[in-house]
Amino acid sequence: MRRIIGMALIMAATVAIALASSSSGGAPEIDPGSATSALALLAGAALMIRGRRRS
Amino acid sequence: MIRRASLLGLLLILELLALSLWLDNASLGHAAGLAWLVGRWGAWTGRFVVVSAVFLVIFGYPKARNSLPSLSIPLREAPISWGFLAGHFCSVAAFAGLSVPLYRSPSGTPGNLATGAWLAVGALAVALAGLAFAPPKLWMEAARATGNAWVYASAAGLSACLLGVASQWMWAPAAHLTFLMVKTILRAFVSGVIADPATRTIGCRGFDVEIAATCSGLEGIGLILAFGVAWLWLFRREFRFPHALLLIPASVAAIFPINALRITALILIGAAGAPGVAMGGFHSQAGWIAFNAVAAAFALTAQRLPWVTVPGRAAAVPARATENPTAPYLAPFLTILIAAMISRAASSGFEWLYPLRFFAAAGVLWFYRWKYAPLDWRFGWNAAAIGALVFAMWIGLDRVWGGGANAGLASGLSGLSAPARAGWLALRTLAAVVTVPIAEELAFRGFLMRRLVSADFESVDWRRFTFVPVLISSVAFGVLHGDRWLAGTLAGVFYAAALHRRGRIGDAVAAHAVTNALLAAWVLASGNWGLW
Repeated sequence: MRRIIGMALIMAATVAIALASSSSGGAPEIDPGSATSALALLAGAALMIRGRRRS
Repeated sequence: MIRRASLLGLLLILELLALSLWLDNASLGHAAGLAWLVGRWGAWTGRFVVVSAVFLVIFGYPKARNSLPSLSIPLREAPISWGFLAGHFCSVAAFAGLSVPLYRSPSGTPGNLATGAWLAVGALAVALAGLAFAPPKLWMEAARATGNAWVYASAAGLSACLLGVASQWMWAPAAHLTFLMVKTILRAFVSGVIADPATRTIGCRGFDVEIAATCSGLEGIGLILAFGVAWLWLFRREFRFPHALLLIPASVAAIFPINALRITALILIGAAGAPGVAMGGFHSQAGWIAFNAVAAAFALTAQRLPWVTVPGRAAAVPARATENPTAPYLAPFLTILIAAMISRAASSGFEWLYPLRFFAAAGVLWFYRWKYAPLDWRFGWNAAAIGALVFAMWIGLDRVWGGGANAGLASGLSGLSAPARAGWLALRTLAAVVTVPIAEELAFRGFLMRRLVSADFESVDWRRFTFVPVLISSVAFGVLHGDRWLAGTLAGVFYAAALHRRGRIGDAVAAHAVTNALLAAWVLASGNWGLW
C-alpha cells in the first residue's frame, strides 16, 4: 500500500512537471522569467535547512 | 557511483536550464520540415526525457543496488576523462552556435540539413558528457544491471506526458473556483466589486483582470507537489510513513487559497492606482514568493514536527541559528534574492526599492561578522588584475552577443529628482562593489564549490582545485546572470582561480569587486544601463 501511494504521488508530481507551462495564453501564475532566482532561493534555503549540525 | 551520476545529471540540468532560458521554441512556430517538428514537439520531447530519466532512477536503482559495489570500484579507478569533457564543451559551443541561425533565422525557414546538424551536435554533446564521467564499458554494465527498467521508465514517462495533456480539463474548473474565492475575499475589502463568471473577469474601481486558466492555482499545486514528493523521497529515512504523507495535501491546501489571495492583492494594488506594479513586478514575483514560502514551511515543518519524524533520525535542530555552519555562507546571498523578489514585486520597470538589497545584505553580513573573522580576507594585485580581465571579457561578450537596453531603468532614473537619483545610484554602486561580491563569493566559491567536494565543506582546503566543482559552481553562477550566462560562467571560473592561487577568499571577493566597480563606472559614464 505504501509503495502504491508513493508511486501515485511520484506520478502526480511528474504529471505536474509535464503540465508546467504546457498551457498557452494569458500571464502565468508562475512566471518562467523569474524561475532562475526563485529556484536558486529554494535550493539555497533547502541547503540551509539541511545544513545544520547533527547532534 | 552515485556522486559521479549526480554530477553528470547536475551538469546536464544546468546546461538544459541555460538553453531553455535562451531558446524559445515558439519562434519555430512558422518553420517547416524538421524545424517545425522541433518547434511543435521539442518541449514535450524534453519533458519526456526528463520524466523518463527520473523513472529510470526510481525503477533501476532497486534492480541495480546489488551491482553498485562492482560498478563503483572500477569507476573510482577511472578518472573523469578531460578529453571527452573538452569535447562535450566544444559540442555545446557548436550547438549554441548552430542555435543562432536556427532560432533567429531572418527568413524564418531553417533548412532540414541545418536542423539535422543541430540535433546531431546536441546528441553528441550529451553522449560526450556521459563518456567523460564513465567509460563505455561501465555504461554497458550499468545498462545490463538495470535490465529492462528503461522500457518501464519510457512507458511511465510517456504515460505521464499523455496524462499531463489529458488532465488539462482541470484548468477551467480550478480557474472558476479561484474566481469565486477571489470574489469572496475582495468583497471583504472593497465595495462595488465587478465580477463576470462567464469570462472570469473580476475587479473594482476601474481596474479588473481576467483569471486565465494559467492563473487557476494549478501551477503552484504542481510545483509544491513536485517539491513535497522530492523532499519526502530524499529524506525518507527520517520520516514516519504514512504520517509524513499528510504534509503533501496540507501544502496543496495551503498554496491554492494563497493564489486567490495573490490575485486579490493584485486587484487591490491596481485599483489603488498602481496598475503597472500590479501587472508588472507583482504579477511576476508574487507566485514565486508564495511557492517559496509554502515550500520553506513544508521543509521546516517536516523537520520540526516530531509526529512525522522517526525519533533519533531527523537532523538535529540547534537552539540558535548561528550553530548552522551553512548559514554564514548562504544567508547573505539568499537575503539578496529575497530582497530582490520583494523590490521587483513593488516595481514596474524601474526597481526603485533596489537599496533594500544593499541594506538587507549588509545587515546579514553584520549579523554573522564574527563567523567571517577567521577567513582570510587579504588580497593582492593579482586579484585586481583578474577582476579587470573579467570586466574586459564581460564588455567584449556584451558587444558580441548583445544585451537588453534596460529602458525601465533609464526612464525610471530620468523621472527621479536629482538628490533621489544620486542616492539611488550611490546605493546601487555600493551594492555592486561591496555586498554583492562578498555575498556571492561566500555562496558560490566559499560554500557551493567546497560543498561539491565534501559534505563537510568547512574541512576542504581553500587551495584545493577540483575541476568539476569549479565548473558546476561557475555554471550555477552563470545561469543566475540570465542572458549573460556565458560571461557569468567564465567570470565564476576566473574568481575560482583567484581564490585557489593563495587560498584566500579575499582574493575572489576583491576580483569580483573590481569587476563590478569597473562595470559600474562604465555604466555611469556611458549610460549603457543594460549592463545593470
